[in-house]
Amino acid sequence: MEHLDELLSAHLDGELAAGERAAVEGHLAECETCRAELDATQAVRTAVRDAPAVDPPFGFYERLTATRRRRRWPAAASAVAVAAVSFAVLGVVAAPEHRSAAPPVESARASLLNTRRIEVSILPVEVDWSQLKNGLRRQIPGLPGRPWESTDPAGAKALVYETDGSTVMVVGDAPLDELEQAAREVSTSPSVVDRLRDAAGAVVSAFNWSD
Amino acid sequence: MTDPPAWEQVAREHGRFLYTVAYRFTGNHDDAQDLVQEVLVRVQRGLATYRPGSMEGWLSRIVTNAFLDDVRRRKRRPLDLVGDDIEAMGRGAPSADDVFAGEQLPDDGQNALRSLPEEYRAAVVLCDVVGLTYEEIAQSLAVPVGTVRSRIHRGRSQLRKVLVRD
Repeated sequence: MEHLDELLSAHLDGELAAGERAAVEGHLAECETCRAELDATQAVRTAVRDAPAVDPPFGFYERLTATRRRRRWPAAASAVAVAAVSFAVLGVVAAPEHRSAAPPVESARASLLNTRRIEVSILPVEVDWSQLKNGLRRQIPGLPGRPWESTDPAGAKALVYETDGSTVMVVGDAPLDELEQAAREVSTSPSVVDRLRDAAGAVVSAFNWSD
Repeated sequence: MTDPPAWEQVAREHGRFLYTVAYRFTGNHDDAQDLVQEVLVRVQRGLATYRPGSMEGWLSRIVTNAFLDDVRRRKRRPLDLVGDDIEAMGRGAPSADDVFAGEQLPDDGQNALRSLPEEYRAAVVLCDVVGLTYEEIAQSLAVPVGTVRSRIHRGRSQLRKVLVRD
């Protein structure tokens, strides 16, 4: 046997036949070069295996869920499900006066800067507050996605807020009172676009995230 | 035959695993999201034959096939070859998603993985991330077991050079 080369990986992976394994172990006992190779290969193997699990960007599965649901949305949707759907529409703006003629669910959303840490949605339908009292924290019940807090290591929260006839949902990892402030900003501006933009600006300035 | 699980269930219960595998394969969040979406489409359409057993094994096969399909599709388009240059991908400016997720990823292994040719990367990911045996990897990649053994070791050797250089 020269040097072991690919037998080393197979050895580490427990993929050698008994006869091969004995030969490899015999060679390793004799060959310092191959022992060093084995250690180095094992270090690489460990690095890959121990690399931390990766979470998708905030709200990824929820947006997928929402996108799919919109296509076959039942008329009598629950408010909780509507909250999920509000994540669906990126950059689509529903003017308030068009709500009744619009598809069952439309929403507008703003992502702030590039952080994706606060998202503001307008929900053009009434919310069943009995399901949402105290706001939404940690998880929206019934939402086919993982709990927010596991989606975002910083601890994302969601709020649903009703103000000036608009139902606003704000999701982010900011403190709840800042999310509330963003929701209020959304509701008091002249158009939905401006509302979202203003809300974004308010939150950004509150956090100095533009730095 | 048992009905396949609903894709919502897959996302809820195995989303993190699925996304991690997709990210290891693709090396960036944009492509990982596309890949996961494609997997869920296949799940939803029942395109992948579900056999009761390890859900993660089943998902691994789907995500592997989807990844390899995409690699083959891109390689058929010559103009994309330059864009597919893996070195360039590794050095490119990270997207906002990459930056955000990067905060939780002190992840030398991932960066080194990006530098591997796809066939090595696929073998290493299936072995070290998914946890398949060489025989299972050979079936997934439709290559002989000896080829799997060789790709895994060459992949690790290249990873080692990258990790040492960094």
